[in-house]
Amino acid sequence: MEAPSTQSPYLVVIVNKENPVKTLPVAEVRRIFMKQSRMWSNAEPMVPVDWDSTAAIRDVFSRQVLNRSVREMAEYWVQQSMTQGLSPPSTQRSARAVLRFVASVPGAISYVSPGDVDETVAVIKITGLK
Amino acid sequence: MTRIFFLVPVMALAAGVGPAWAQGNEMATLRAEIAKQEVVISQLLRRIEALEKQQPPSTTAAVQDLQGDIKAQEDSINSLREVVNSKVSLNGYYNFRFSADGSEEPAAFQQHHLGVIMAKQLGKFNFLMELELQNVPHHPEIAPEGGEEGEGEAGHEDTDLSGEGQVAVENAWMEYNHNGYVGLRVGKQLSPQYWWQNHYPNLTLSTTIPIYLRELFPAELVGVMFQGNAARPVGNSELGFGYKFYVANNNFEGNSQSDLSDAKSWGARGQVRFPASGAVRRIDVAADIYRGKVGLTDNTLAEDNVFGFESQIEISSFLFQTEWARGKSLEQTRTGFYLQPAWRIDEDWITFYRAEQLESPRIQRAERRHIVGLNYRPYPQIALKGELYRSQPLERDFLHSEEGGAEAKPFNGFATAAVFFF
Repeated sequence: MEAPSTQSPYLVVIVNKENPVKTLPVAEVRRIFMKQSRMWSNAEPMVPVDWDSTAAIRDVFSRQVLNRSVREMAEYWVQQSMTQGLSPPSTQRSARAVLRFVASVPGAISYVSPGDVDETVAVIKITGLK
Repeated sequence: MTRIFFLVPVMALAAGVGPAWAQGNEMATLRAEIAKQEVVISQLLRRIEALEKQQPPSTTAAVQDLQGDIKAQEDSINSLREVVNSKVSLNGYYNFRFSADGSEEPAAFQQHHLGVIMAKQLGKFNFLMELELQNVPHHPEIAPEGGEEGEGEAGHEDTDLSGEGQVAVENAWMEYNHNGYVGLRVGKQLSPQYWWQNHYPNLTLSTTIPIYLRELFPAELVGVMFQGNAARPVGNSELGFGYKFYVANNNFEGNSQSDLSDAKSWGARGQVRFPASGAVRRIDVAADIYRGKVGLTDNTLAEDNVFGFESQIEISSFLFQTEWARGKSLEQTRTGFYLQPAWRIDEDWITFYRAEQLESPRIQRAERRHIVGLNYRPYPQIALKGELYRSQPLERDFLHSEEGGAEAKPFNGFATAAVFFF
């Protein structure tokens, strides 16, 4: 039986360097980006940061991690806005902007292409990713 | 102008707008962080101005990069501000409907629902308020003289012949989420069953609620609800459990500020989310119970016990939803259910079929209804719906009691609606 991989070749999940978390199950990443989990273990509020809806990497992340298309996630946020008062994560348009945001906000979590990672953020391993 | 926009939140924070309970050290740290980032933004803006003065084509990409940087900085400041101050989100929905059928009700355009939802999050606290205008009230200048007390025909709760409409606070609650396992919500809130929670016109495929819905579980409750959930990763999915337990005023008109008994109603809900992978995207099942009293016309209360089951299953582009409930009050048993398979043809089109049934001695109604419909959703916020339905009266002994009304006949109908979420 093949063990589940820990990283996608198309993207890596990044957090602020102050975040002590090193590994997350893919189901927990899904919960964070769907705002069903709210606080890190160090009591920082979780701040998921998404990409602009037209970005190719957003489509990959939505399908691989969230198990939904970008359009289906938009519908999910309409539902959450009406029933829970929740807003979707803020979005950025470039890897540079995503990195800058995650480096600036202690509870931030986002994703970029592996080649875009720099030393200002920390990469976490995702378990259970297909 | 842009600079002013950036400076306003910083100045607001510096003026001490933050909540009183926030710890001083944390506030000071956040303010220092915001001030630091504001300096970074100023530097970026100066670089953009310098690059724009030079104007060679090769700087276009650099300017775009810097503009992206500024947005990231601005968003990160807003994010930090939310930790301190949060913000109010304002949403709403609009639903315009037309229906025509073979029943005694005339065909009509209906300015059906107009709702405004305000919400705010502050740390572990949430607040949500929903103001709903049903059958939107007429402007006083064109309302009938002298006013009318009637609210339409009995049994047609969606019809309002008075022109007065109804303005209702459907939700007004605040909640505290200690962690994922334990939370407390107080105030006026929708019952926890799936359809009540998701009855908004953007979220449903049909233009109408199932015929049994108002006859079983109460639509709303005014009280306190404990809730929580837990999940265990299974492969790339999870096995999840959720619970809700609530104590509320009994079910009668005007229960938002008084009750007719010291004994409160209570209810509970347990939900399981099974692991889903591949084409199976969702398997949720839940069970609900309600024990309380319902108000009678003479302002007395009668025991009312209801229980029900529900499931939502999503496999590839197929969705299946069902709910069933049974209630007992004054020695009379009432039941109802719906089954709704749906197929997502593509991103914009969804077709569905719904079979539903209600048997209720207390309102002398036994009916089965079939609905076939199509939704066009060009955007997640917009739904254009069309549907055909057939109503079939059922033969039941309780319909032949002395109070029995005129004999019901089968009829066919058509309804369409336009919905906008904003």
